[in-house]
Amino acid sequence: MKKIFSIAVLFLLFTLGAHQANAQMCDSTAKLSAKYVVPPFVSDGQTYRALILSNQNAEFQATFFAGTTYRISAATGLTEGNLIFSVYSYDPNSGQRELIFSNSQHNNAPYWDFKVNTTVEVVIEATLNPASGKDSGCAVLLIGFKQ
Amino acid sequence: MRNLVQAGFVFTAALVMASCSGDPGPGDGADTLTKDTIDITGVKVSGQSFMVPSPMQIADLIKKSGAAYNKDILNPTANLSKYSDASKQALNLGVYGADLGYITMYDNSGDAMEYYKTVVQLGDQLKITGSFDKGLMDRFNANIGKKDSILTLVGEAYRRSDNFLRESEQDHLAALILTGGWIESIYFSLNVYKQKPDPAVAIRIGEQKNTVAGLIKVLKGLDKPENAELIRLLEELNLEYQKVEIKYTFAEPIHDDAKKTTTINGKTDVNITPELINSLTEKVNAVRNYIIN
Repeated sequence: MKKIFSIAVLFLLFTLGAHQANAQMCDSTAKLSAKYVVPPFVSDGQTYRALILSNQNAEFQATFFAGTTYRISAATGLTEGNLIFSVYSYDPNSGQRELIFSNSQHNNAPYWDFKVNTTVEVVIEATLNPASGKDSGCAVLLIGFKQ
Repeated sequence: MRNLVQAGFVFTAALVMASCSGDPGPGDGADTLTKDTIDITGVKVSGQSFMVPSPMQIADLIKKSGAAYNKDILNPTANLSKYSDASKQALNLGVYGADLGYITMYDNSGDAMEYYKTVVQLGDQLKITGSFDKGLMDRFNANIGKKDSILTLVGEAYRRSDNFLRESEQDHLAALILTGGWIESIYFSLNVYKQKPDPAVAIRIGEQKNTVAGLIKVLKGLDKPENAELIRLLEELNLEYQKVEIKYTFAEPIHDDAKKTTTINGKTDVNITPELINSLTEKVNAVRNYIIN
């Protein structure tokens, strides 16, 4: 019984430590991403993040308004280029998606700007760069708009 | 013993994953690990995260429409004392943040300081640390009159508070801040249209059709009984919003690697009538009255 209790305490300590370590890892990645959302870009006020495995995508929906230039800054870990992000247009009427951009086709750029001529619903997908050799990572995306 | 060790690791891994993927709310959690697509923090809708249009961005669009500054459309700071529970405080932190964004766009330093202090007070009442603190207040004071710097500071403060609330598993408050901010900004847009019925403003109002539906899903997912009236009012608004017709046609984007820029083309047609704007105004006013009173 004493042994089981000791193991449980060990797991609890390990869990708390891992929880803290992951929160810090996500925070460090957020700081890395934030360095590209600087004037003239203003943060949209949200932080999008996820712990993803190598076979998973994180995705979210957004509306990009005509006449605005947006910046997406994306990272995982503390090294740039390890996160692949793709932006698709999304038609809510038909559910159809069309690829607008993927940083995998642009040297895995850590940030990219989008000059929007027509208002469009978009879906942004983020996945780990297979070449990074990482099995998991904290993916962080930030969005800013140009003043 | 081996089973116990394995169970411990599975439990630990699940907790660690949940800690970084954010909201462990209904529909999320253990099954997250088995899905091909997982949720990320941000407001979640049907397994996806959902970006609420930034109030500052809407304020920017309003200013570009040529509308004059009008303090009467803001939520008076004297209302602050009415907000005693956390839900109302969070909703109005969003409202006052949108007000602050609007004021800043119009370079009104006196009003900006008044609303900034109110935002700081609400942040303090909600115990949001590391966002609306003395350091930021000092930077705000030092940059008064510099619109671009103030906008950056406000945007960053709201991003940090969003991050703080999600890390401390208070996603419901983060969602209410976003809801309050969005309602205030759509209220601004409708008021601007009332002053000057510009088709461009009408289109911008119509383009936000999907936002209200998304917010309803988010608030329902949070499963908080205290949000019932807010959800009811938003559903009434959504019924009207669904009458807006939007048709999108895709066109190939243009990439400029040197400038790290992609130009998004295509065509979006929005059909929204003046009558529909009137009914939207009535419904938005009802939601806003509930929030600010």
